Parts: sequence; structure tokens; C-alpha cells
Amino acid sequence: MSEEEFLAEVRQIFNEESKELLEDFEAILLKLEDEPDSEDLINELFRTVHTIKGSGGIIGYDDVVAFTHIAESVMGRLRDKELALDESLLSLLLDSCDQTRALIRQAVDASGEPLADDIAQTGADLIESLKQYLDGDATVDQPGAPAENPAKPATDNADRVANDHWHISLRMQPEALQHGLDPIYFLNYLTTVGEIVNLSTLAAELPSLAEMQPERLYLGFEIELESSADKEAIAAVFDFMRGECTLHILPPHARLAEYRSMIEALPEENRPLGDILVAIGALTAQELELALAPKPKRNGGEIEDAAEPVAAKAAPQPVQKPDDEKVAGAGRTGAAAQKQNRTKDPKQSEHHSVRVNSEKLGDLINLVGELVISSAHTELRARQTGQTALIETTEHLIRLVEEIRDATLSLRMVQIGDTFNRYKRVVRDTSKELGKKIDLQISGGDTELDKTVVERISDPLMHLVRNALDHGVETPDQRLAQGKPQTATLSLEAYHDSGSIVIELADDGQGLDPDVLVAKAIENGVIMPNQQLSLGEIHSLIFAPGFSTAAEVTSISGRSVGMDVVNRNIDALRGQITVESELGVGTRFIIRLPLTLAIIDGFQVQVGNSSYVIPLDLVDECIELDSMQGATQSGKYIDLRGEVMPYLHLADVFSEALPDQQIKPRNNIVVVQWAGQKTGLVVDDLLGEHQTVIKPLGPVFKNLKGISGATILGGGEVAIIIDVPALISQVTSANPNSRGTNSIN
Amino acid sequence: MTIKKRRGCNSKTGRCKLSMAGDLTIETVAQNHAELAKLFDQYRHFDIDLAALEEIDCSGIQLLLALQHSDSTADKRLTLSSAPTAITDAMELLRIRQQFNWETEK
Amino acid sequence: MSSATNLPLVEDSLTESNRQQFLTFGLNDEIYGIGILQIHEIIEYGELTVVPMMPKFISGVINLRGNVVPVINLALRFDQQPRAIDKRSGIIVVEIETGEDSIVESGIIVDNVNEVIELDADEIAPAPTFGTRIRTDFIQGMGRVNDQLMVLLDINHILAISEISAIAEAQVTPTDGPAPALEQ
Repeated sequence: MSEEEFLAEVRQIFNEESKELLEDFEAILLKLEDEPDSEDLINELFRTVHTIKGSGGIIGYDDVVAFTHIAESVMGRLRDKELALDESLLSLLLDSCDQTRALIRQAVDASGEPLADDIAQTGADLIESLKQYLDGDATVDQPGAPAENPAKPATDNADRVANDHWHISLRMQPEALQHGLDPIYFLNYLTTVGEIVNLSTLAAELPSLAEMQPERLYLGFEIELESSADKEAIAAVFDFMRGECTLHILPPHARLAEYRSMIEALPEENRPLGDILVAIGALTAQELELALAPKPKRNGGEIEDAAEPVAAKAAPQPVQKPDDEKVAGAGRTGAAAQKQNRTKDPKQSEHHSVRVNSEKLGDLINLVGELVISSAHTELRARQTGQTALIETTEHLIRLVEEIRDATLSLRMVQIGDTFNRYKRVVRDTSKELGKKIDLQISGGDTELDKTVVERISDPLMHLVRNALDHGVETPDQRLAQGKPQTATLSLEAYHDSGSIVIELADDGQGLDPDVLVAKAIENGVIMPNQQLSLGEIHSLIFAPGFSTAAEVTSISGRSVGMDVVNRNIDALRGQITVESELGVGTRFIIRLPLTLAIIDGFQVQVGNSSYVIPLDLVDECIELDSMQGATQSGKYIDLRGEVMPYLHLADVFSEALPDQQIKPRNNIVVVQWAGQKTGLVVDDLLGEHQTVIKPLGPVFKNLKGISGATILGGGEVAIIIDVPALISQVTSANPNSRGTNSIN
Repeated sequence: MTIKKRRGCNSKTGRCKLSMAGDLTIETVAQNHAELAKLFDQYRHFDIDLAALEEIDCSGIQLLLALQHSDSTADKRLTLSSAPTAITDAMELLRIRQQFNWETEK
Repeated sequence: MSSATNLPLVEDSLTESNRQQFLTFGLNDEIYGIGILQIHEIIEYGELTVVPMMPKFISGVINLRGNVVPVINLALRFDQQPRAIDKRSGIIVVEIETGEDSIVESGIIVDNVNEVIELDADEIAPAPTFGTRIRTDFIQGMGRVNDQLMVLLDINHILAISEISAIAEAQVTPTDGPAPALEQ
């Protein structure tokens, strides 16, 4: 690889990484808005910016480095409690986040070119404002910082531990022994730089004799070291196994916060680990209690320290620096272990991860798709031979392939929480711009779905959120006048429901006015003036092309794409959007999406001379048409155990002739269900389940309704996959009488 | 490493006398793990003479610790004796020597 | 689109190399040629899967090494009566450029595949503006082989994705509107 290619790759990595870091940055800031005193958050914030700056420096993004350096300095003061986080500083930091984003984009897109004027100007303004916080007495002068400030800064000794030894925590990888790295060797070596005063061998992970694997390392070590060496010299002892171990080195009289983050970062449970730390003298029992306390209380006990001048602390800072870097390394992995007494949000529960090029992942998924098809083929052939042993082997093979399939697909599954969190900022900023008070409530952020789906749903969802902010929610005055609480609630929720994921966005705003919708639709020629519509249909008018309810064009959402584009985007994902609304009470959008775009379990049916595949998740049951005879002849509905269910003949929809084979045609009904609506599909024969690798049908067929793709059967022939939602909406919209069963609840 | 059953093993009383010789390290532990686990199933009380051991590494330490831990959980009893300095040094370093029962008279 | 816009295309490709290769094939007793660079492969006519609700000239789809590829009946596309499939029938898989910088594979059914010929630049004449049996925008030029004229096809136009999918939609709409047949 040439140096240029290498650099390009590094840039690409940085670009992706920084995107995530900036999202973290923003998310942390927004969380800080709710709990401005959280030391953990401020530490995290500092680390995030520090990482952006660091990696920016490696690849020579000087503008990024120069700017983030100032932001980092301000955060450093925040962390050291020389500054208090108030509303204006928070906004400034949020703007700094945006600026960093703009700088990185500029650096990636137009590397080497001078900064665009507007970016440079914004940068200069921000730096000017940030610098005010760097002046020694900024806390006093800053207009936004009120009188509570003097109570905030804590002094040095207050949160430093009594322990005057170095504390070293060592966890090596389980494979270390196999790699020839023995902790005993390193501990012996450690005695060359200092004296091991105390040590605890942690054997909690060690299984019973029968279960233990002799070549795995199960032990961890907590060490108290008496040494005059500096941190680098101590760390050098472990240099040889860099990357193979998790190492924390805390200096004598380290901050309690450092111990706290170390405890959280280590895999053991907090309490027993803490007890060990007490046992070896790293912490006193009292310090441990403080470290394990769920949330550091800032305003209470430390008021007596307030008298001490802020400027008094300066000297210990430079020494502090390397520690931060170590902790930064551990911080990300640290959050991985879900800790018992702290409910962390899903965002923080990132596990050790490997960054993989999504193209490679796509290739892998394609290959697994081929594997699935070819194993189906093998099974078919094996059955034809009638050899039991061969059939059993292939069945085992099929099971393994299914597991591989599931595991591979799960690689592409991501939590939707990250996407949801992005809207927090939007809600915050736009509600300020519009003078509205809005509380965004997010639930189900840990719901997983295909990354491709997540990426493609994010923009439509953003549009819906903006729409809700702009048109859905009233101003505080209007709300008060209507007897509603001043603060509106916008809720964003995700959950799984029979093979699909559902995203609901609900507001308690003014709701859709059916009269206005109808008037507008008539005006724009979407409907005829005398057309009779149900309430549900009226609400659905907002998805009609060329329809917009925005009375005036605002900067928030009225100007660009309309709801019809949202609808089309979701359609393209084989999803569906519906709306429920009540005038004056609120509006709820319900989006249903398939879990994956790649491989599904299918149910194969015969229609005419062709095989079709129905997604198995949507199949409710199969019944014989004969048993429904009485109801069958009267119309397009059958009586399904007392429930009126519409049905249609797939052969008619697809213009298929009667099949050649000797089967009793048109005899089975496959009952499918989508969004609570059941529909019967009459088919000629049921052929059973089929591992369905979804193959796109290509642009030629892009306008085709009722068909979502194709798949390749075991014998190599192609079968068409039925788009059940499209068929259902076809059958229900075509039947005026069906409204009773299709009403919007 | 070699593990020898010494005289005095008695399946009725559940007593098992062993002596270990050579290196108690990752390779030898891997080789003898299954054998030891089997013995461990058969007997309850283990006396292990470590006198002929020359070297121990973390894998060996883990083996002894695992035996020792079963002490309480599986109603077994482990007594060690005659550890040479190479072994005791390692145990001291890891601050685990006191976790074992040592045969007192030796 | 008028035929004139196709002319530069021919000239462009000729400036690079003076000789161009074409695959010739028969369709309803006429010989046509397709530029060899666009041809992916030639396969035997095999079992097709019909895609419902599509215009007739889209015969269906085939499995081409794991990819689902549409197959077009060229005769129907030319509004001609297709000949019955026999053992000489073949499918020529071609690559079509779509608007979005991507290439789509597509099969065309022909009566029989003949040979590859080489033509000099001066052996290729621009497409006539009238008097041909097929739409003039389907024609890239006229090749002269042994004093006989042969139609060289502009495959990108014949299989233009945007046009075909629009036709498909137009065909679907009527069956889309009224309800599926009633059970009476």
C-alpha cells in the first residue's frame, strides 16, 4: 500500500470515527443539560474532545486541532471545577461541536484548501467566546454564571485519596499465557522499579478444576507499589504486552474520581472489587463508599471548601495529563460492563468492537446468501436419494447454515438509540427557535434493526420530528389556553412486533384537523369535492403527493420535502407508515419496517405454474378453503372463527392460469397479517418453508406493486416474493365495505 | 511434569497421595489436566508433595488454586507439602501462599 | 429521442479504434448486430420465471449465477410476432448503462446467434431517419457486410430502464384500480 493510500484509509477511518465521537459529544452535552454536576459526564466529554483532537492531529487536520484545542482547554477547566457549566456555556459548547463537525467535513471534502469564509468566521467568533472562559477570573466575570458559582469549585485535597502508593490494576487477556506472557514475569519485573507493598490476586473468574482450561488466564491483579519512579517508567514494565492487557496506573493520592472510573471500567462487580481495594490499602472504607455512591453530590458537603480561592490549584495539573490518557483508553471499554447498581442507558453499553468495512460485511452477507441457497439445493438432492444417513447429515448442515445466517445478519443489526439521540438536539434547538416547550421522551432505544434500514429511516424520521415540532405542537400560551400543560410531550418509541420493527412518534399537540385536510386536498386536486372519506382516509391524505398542511412556509419543515416523500422512502424500505390523530389531543405516526433487507424465512406457495414466497413472519395460519365453503360463495369475505376477513385470489392478481399438476387448485388460504389487518390469500398449493435470500429485482421492476423481490429456490429457479403489505392495502383500499375492519384505532 | 501416585492412596477413605515433579507450567498442566480432573473425581482428600517441582508459572498456579477452591465447594481437602523456593517465591509474589493448607510437620 | 443524438456515439467509439466488433444474431429472419463490448455472455434458452403484472415483452427473470436478471423478448419489444422457442433460441446477456452510473445486466431472447464480425468505420453508416422496421432510436447505425445492410442495435435504448419501468407501471395501473376479481 502506498503512503497515499494508507493516508487515505486513515482519513476514512478518522472520518467515520469522528462522526461517532461527535455524536457522543453532542449526546453528552445534552445529558449534561439535565445533570450539570455529573463528574462522569464531564470526564467523558473531555475524553471525547481529547480523542478528536488527538486523531485529528495524527492525520494533520490542523484546523480541527487548533479549534478543538481551545474547546478542550475549556472542558479541562470544567473538569477541574474551575468553571461551572451554565446554560450559555452549554450552548457555546454545542455550537463548538457543530463547528468541529464542519471543520472535519471541510478537511475531508476539501483537504488542503483554505477554510470557507463562513466556517472561518464562525470559528473565530466561537474561539473568542471560548477564550473568555479561559481567563483566570472568567467564573466571576462571565455574565451567565450566577452567584452560585463560588459554591462549586472543589479543592484539591477534598477528593484525593489517602493512599500514598501507586495503584496498579492489571487484567491480561485470557490468551496471554498462550502468547507466552506470564503475569508472574511482569510482577517480578515490577519489583525492579519499586516495592510491591501489597497485592491481591483476583481469582473470581477461575472456574472449577474440571471446567478450567489450562491455557487460559483467569487471574487479575490489584497492586500497591511503593516507588519513586514516574508513571512512564512504571508503565514501561508492561510495555511488552501493550494491547494484550487492560492496565490502570493511578498515582499516589490519586483523585477518587479516577478510582471510581477504574472500578467501573474493570470487569468485576463493583462491591467485591472495592472490598479488595480496601483490603490491600488502596482505598479506605470511607473512600470506597464515596466511590461507589451512585452520584457524586456536589453542592452539599463541600461548601466549607468554597472559601479557598480557585487559583490556588495549578501545580499538580501537568502531572495529571498522562493519567487522563490512560483512563481515556479504559473509558470506552469500561462502560461496557453493565454495572449492577447503576442503570446506564443503552448508548453507553458499547462492547469491545471491531470496525469492519460495510462493503466487506455486505460481501459476507451475500456469500451467506449463496450458502443458504446452495444448502437448500443440497438438501433437495439428498432427499431425492432417499439415503437416511445423507439426509441426516444435510439436515445438520442446514441447521448450521441457519445459525451462520442468523449470526451474520446480526452483525448488521444496530440499536436505533443512536439515531433517536440525534433528535434530542433537533428538539432542543427548534423548540428554542419556535419558543415552544417540548419534552422529548425516548423509549426502546435498544431495539435492534438492520443498519441499512436505520440509515435510510433516519432522514424521514427527522422530517416527522421537525413536522411535529413545527405544526404538531402549539405554543405554550395556546396550550395553556386549552388547559394543557405548558410543556408538550413528544415521544419516540421503538419495539418489535411480529417480524417487523415499529417506530412510533407521538405528540400531544393540536392534532390533524379533518376539515382543513379535506379543504386542502380538494384545493390541490388530490380528491374530488364530493368524495366521501372515512376519518382514517382523511388523515392519510397528508401522505398524498403534492399535499402540504403548512399554512405558511417556515424554516423548520415546510419548505422541503413533504410527507409524500417520507411515505415513499418508507415504502422503498418495504415499510409502511400510518397516522392516527385526534383534533386537539395529538397525533401519532406509526412506522412499520422489516427487520432486515437480506434474508428472511419464507413460506412457499404454488399459484398457477409458478412458485411464490410469502414472508413467514407475516403468515398467521393456513386453512382449507373447503371448510369455509358457506361464507366463500357470498363475496370476498370469509368468516374466520367469527371474524370477518377479506381475501383475494393470488391467481387473479397475478393473472396465473390453472396449474398443470394434479393438485386440487385454489384450495388453500394463507392468512397473512400486517399491522393488525388479516387478509386471506388463496393459493393452489402449499409448498412449505423456504430459506429466502432476497434478491433485488432490479430497476426494471421498481414500479411494480405487490412484489418485493425475488429469490432463488433449491433447484436454481427463481421465485417471486410477495409484498404482503402492498397487497393488503390494495385489497382494503379497493373495498369500501372493508373500512369497518380497517378503521384507525 | 510427572505426577506420581504415592503409596497410601485409598479409594475407601478417599485419600490420594500425589507427588509432582519437574515443571508445573502451561504445557504440562495442559497435558495432565484431564488426568488430574479424573483423580479429583475419584478421591476426596489430596496430599500433594511438591518437593520435586522445579518451576511453576501462572497456569500451574491456577491449577493449584482451582484445586484449592474446590476445598469448600466440593467438600474436598487439599494439603500441600515440601514446596521448593521456586514455588514459594511465586506464591509469595502473588500473595496466595496463605490460601493453601500446608502440611505442618515438614 | 431522435436518431441524431446517436451519431456521436458511433463516432466516439470509432475514433479510438477504427475497427469494431459486433455479434450478429437472427430475429424473425432478419440479421442484427450488437457491439461486442456490451455483451456479457450468451446462454441457452432456459426456464424463465414469469414476473406478474409486467408488460408482455418482459418474458421473465432468470437465475444467472445467483443474480436475478430480467429477460426481454426482443421481437415483442419491436412489436413483432415472436417465433416459437426452439433449440436454436438463445439468450444474449448484455450490460445496460442506467442513468445512475451503474450497469444492469439484462437478457434478450433471440432466434439464433450467428457470429462475431468486424467492421471498419467506413463500413458503418448512420441510421436512416425512416423506413426501418423498428424504431429508429433503437438503431445505432447500419453495417455493410458483403454489400448487405445490417441493423446495428443501440441496446441501451432498447432496454432503457426508465422507459421500461414506466411502461410497466402504466400497464399495472388498470389492474391496480379496480378490485381483484370478486368471488361470485
